[in-house]
Amino acid sequence: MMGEYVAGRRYDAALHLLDRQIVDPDGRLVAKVDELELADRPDGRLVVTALLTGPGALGPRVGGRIGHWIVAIWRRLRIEPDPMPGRIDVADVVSIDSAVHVGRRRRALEVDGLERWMHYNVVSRIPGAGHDPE
Amino acid sequence: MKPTRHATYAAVCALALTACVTPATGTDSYRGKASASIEAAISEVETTRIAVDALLDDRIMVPYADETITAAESTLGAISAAFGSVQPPDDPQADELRETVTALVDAAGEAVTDARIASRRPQDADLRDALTMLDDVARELDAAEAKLR
Amino acid sequence: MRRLFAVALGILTAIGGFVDIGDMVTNALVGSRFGLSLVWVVVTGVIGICVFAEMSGRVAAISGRPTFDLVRERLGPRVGFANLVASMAVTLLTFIAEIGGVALALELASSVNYLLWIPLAGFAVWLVLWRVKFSLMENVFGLLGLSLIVFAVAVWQLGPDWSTLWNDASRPSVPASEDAPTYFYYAVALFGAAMTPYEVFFFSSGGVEERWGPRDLTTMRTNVLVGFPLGGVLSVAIAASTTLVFLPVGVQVDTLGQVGLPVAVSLGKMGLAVALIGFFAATFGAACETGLSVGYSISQYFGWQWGKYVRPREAARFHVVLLLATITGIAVLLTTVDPIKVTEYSVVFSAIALPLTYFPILVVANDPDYMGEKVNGRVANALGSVYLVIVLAAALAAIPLMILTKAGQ
Repeated sequence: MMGEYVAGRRYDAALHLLDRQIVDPDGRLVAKVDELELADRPDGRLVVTALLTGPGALGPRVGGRIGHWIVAIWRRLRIEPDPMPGRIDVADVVSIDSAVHVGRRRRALEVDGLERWMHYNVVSRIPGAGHDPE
Repeated sequence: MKPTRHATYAAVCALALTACVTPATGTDSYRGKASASIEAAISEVETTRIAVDALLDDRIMVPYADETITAAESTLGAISAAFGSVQPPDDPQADELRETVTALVDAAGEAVTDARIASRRPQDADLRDALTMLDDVARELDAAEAKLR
Repeated sequence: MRRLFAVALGILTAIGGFVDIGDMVTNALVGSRFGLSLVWVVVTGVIGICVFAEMSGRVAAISGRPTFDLVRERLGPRVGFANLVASMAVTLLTFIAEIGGVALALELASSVNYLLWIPLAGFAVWLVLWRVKFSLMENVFGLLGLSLIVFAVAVWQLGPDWSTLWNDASRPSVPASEDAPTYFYYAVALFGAAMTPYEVFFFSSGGVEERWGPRDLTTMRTNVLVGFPLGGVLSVAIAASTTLVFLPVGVQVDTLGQVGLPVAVSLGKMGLAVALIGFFAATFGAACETGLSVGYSISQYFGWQWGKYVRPREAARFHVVLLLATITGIAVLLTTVDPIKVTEYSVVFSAIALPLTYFPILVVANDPDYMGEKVNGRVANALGSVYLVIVLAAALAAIPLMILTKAGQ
C-alpha cells in the first residue's frame, strides 16, 4: 500500500485523486477532492497543482441543471462577488491510499466555511455539543 | 379509389379490435368491487372477533384491544363510504347487489362498534353479546362472499 | 454477555432491515395472504445482504472507508448524486415512518393518541442520535429488539402441523385466492426490504464508528452471520404467526395492532407485553439506523466530517442534517399521513438505489489498492455477481409490478 510522497510519483489523477476523501493528520475528514487544479508544464504535460473542494468545484462536475443550481446556491452564500472554491495546495498532500492524506490540520486548511458556520451558529448552541463520545 | 379502400379496411380492423378488447361489463366490475368490500369487511370483523375473544380469555391488555378494535371500526367506515360512492351500473341485479352489500357492511360496522363499546367497559356479559353479534355477521359475510364467487 | 454485545451492530442493522415498521406489517400481511409461500424470498434476501454486508464491512475494516465514499468514487459525482437522491428518498421516508412506528407502538401500549406521541418520539430519537454513545445505542436497541423472538415462541406454542408448514415454504406456489403479479410484487418488496441500501451504509459506517481495523475481520463476519440470519428468522416468525391465526379466517393485516394479535392468542398478556417491547425497540432502533444513515449518506457524498465517534460540534453539518431530518419527520407525521403507507412508496426509490449501491461495493472489494491482499475470493465474486443480476432484475420489475397490482391490492 502507498505511503510515499506525491512528488515524483505518477498517479492516475482520475482514479487515485478525484472524488477521494481528504483526511488530516488527526484522522479528521476534511473534504472530498471535488476538482483538480492543473497547470501546464514547460514540457507540455499537465501537472496537478492543487485540490479543489466545495460546491463551487463540485457543481460543474455534477453537470446539468443540478450542477448549475449547486454553483448558483454556493455563489449566493458567499460574500465575494467572484468566489473561489476551497483550495488545498498539492504540497500539503502527504500520501495517497484509499484516501488523500494531508499534513496540515483541518482548521488550518480553511476549506470548510459551511462547517464553521454551522458549528458557531447552530450546533454550539445546543447543549451537549462538546460531549465526549468516549 | 385506392386511399378510400385503405381507409375502409382500417376502419373495419379498428372496429374488430374494439370488439376484441371490450372491457368487462359494468356489472362484472361492480361485482368485483362488491366482492372486495365484503372481503375487507370480513378482515375487520374477524380481527375484532379475535380481539374480543382474547379479552374474554384475559389474553390481551385492554388498551391494546381497544386500539385494535377502534382501528377496525374506522376501517369499516371507510369501506362503507368507498363502496357507497361507487356508481352502480344501470341494472336491477346491480341494484340488488348494492342493497345487500351495503346492508352487510353496515351490520358489520354495528357489530364492531358494539364490540368497541364492550371492550372499553369491559364486562364479560357485554363482550359475549358482542362476540355473538360478530359471529352472526361473519357468517352472513362469508355466505355473501361465496355467492359472489 | 460481552460476546453478545460484540455482534450488536449486526443485529441492529438487521433489525432495521428486516423488522422495521414497514417490514413487520408487510411480513404479517404476507403471512396472512400468502402463507409461507414467500419464505424463499426472505432466504434469498438474507444470503444477498450477507454477501454485500461482508464486502462493505471488509472494505470499512481494511481501508476505513464506508460505503458511500465508494459510491461517489467509483460511479462519479453525477451518478453518485443520482444514487444519493434515490437512497436518501428511501432512507428519509423510512426514517419518518419509523418515528411514526415508535408512536404507534406507544399508542398500543397506552391508549394515548398516536399524534400526541409523535413529537415525543421524534425528540427521543434525535436525543439518542445527538447524545448517546454509538455502542450503547446498538447494544440497547439491538438486544431489546430481539424480544421479537416472542413471535417464534408464539408459533411454537400454537402447535402447528410442521410438515404442512415445511411443505408450504419449500414448495412455493401462488395461493388460489391471489394472482401471480401480486405474488411477485410482494416477492420484490420482501427482497428489496432485505437488501435495502441503508443497511450497508449503516453497517459499514458503524464499522468505522467502532474503529474496526484489519484485525476485526472475524468480528465483522460474526456480526454478519449472526445478525442478518436472525433478522430473517424474525421476519419468517411474524409471517408464520399470521399464517396460523389469520390466514384461515381471512384477516388481511394492515395495522401494527393486528401484527401482535397472534402472540396474544398464543401466549396471552405476557407474550403480548414482550411483543410490544419488541415493536418499540425495533422501530426505535430502525429510526436510529435510518436517521444516522441519512446523515452518513449526505456527509459521505460531500466529504463532510460525520459520525458519533467525534464530538457533535466537530461534525456540525452532519448533526444539522440529523436535526433537520427529525424536524421534517415530525412535521410530515403530524399531517396524519399513515406511516405504513409511507414505507410502501419508498419501494419505488429502493428499486433505483439498489443496483447503484451494490455495484460499487463489488468493484471496490476487488481493488487491491483498497483491500491489499483482502480482495474478494472467487466465492465472494461469484455470489456478488449473481446477486447483482438478481438486484437488477428486481429493480427493473419493481415499478411495473407496483403499477400493475396497485401496490399489492
